Amino acid sequence: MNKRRLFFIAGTLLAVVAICVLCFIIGRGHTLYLDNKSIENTSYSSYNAIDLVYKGEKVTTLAARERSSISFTGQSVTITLGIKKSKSSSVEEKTVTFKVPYNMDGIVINLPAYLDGADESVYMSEFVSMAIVDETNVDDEVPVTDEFAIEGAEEEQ
Amino acid sequence: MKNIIEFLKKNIVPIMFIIICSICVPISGFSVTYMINEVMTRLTRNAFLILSLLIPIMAGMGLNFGMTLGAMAGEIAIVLVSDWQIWGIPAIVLACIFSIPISILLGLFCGKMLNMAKSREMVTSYIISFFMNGIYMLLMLYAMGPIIPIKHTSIKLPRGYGIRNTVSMLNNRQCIDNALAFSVGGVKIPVLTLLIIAAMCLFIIWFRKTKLGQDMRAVGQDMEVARSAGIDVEKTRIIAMVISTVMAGFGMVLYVQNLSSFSTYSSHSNVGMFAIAALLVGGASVDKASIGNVFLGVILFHTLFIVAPTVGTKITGDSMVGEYFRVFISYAVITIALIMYEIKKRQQKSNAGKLLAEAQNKEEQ
Repeated sequence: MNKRRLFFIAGTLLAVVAICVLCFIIGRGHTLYLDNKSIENTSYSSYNAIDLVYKGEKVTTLAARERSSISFTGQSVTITLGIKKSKSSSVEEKTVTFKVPYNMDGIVINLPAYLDGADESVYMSEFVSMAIVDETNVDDEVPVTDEFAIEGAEEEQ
Repeated sequence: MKNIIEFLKKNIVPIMFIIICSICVPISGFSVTYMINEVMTRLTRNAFLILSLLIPIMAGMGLNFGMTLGAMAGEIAIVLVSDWQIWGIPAIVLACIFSIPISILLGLFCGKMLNMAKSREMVTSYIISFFMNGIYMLLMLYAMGPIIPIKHTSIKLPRGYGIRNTVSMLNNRQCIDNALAFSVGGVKIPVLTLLIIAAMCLFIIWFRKTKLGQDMRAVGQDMEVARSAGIDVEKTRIIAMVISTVMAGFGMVLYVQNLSSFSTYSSHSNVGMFAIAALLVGGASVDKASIGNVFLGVILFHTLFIVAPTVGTKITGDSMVGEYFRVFISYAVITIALIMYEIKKRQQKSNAGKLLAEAQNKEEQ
């Protein structure tokens, strides 16, 4: 193998690896759960209402004790918040950027804690699904690998 | 008159389909916009997969039933990418890249096997696809989880290992189709997918003109002549198989992003059969196929697929009749094409024999 050919192969491999790394970073999907909730035993209490605007579109208005979610790709997300601290106060707009950990699929952000300047460990946590999975019921889904349904035919007989 | 009969003989399958479609489409009652939209969707979904069949035909290896191996590689890559939670176009790019090494390995294996079974390529590749299907199932049912880490319960079976019957790609749903897409009179034009298909067509046209492409054509025409001309026949055939398998892997990724989910244990088999049927409907044969056959085949075959259930319901009152009809049609087309190829081959042989006998008679006189 001549040097030119070797150089070309190595270059191609490097380019492919670089594309893969880029895809892993920019394509990593996350779901951001945004809470407008008080945190127990702390001074961080829910706001009257928070408007969520993502990519120029209003997602929802979070009333006190409510949660909403945004799905996005990449390692950071920028959202515009319309904050109304109390019923009498006016709406204050703020654009915030959250950098999210790569290994977390779902991230919970407590907005009152974040806006009041709490530490990341206080306002950010991993989302854990509350759906109960019955590990003992393994027959929940049986893989169908028999195209000709021979098993079914045997049962019928 | 002789020319017309010859033309009809050569294009009997597409002509048959044009007649069936022109009867079925008005009966179905679907609007023109709906029909064009559906055909466009199916064209972009299937064209790449069918294009992957052209190179083995060029190399004289017939219809590559082994393309399901590439489809399996694409599916394995999709499962991994889905578990890694990569979304959007990067997921598709990554799935394509990860399918390449698996496709190359499977293509190499298939190519080597087919070299051992020359002139019986189609039946051999068909059986290889069954054999590989077993290994694929073993991998999907038992290796995914304990050996290859799978984290998400939406992909993993509840028992803790193995892949679910259906893998969803909801976060990647039509991400390629929707990129740069626009609508003309209610018909969605998926520009990026069409550009990818066009690039693939250009690649095939360019490839035919390269040294390797010319070698493949020579091997396809006559292996012994090609060998005596200094072409490494075995190597050329393996390369044809590898290229086809890699392309089938890409095609499967494109196919799944369009559908947004796939049936883990059966999608690849169905995809292979329908791709081959569509190519034959387009007027291709076992030894000759062109890009035009691909597009004509997809349009005709899938037009029938779209209208068959409704026509079945309107004529017999049962939509299942239409479903059975389209399945029956796809297998029938493959059978007819194979029979016609065999008849043509025997006729050519007997004609050559007659010519030889005549020449000998003349010499003796």
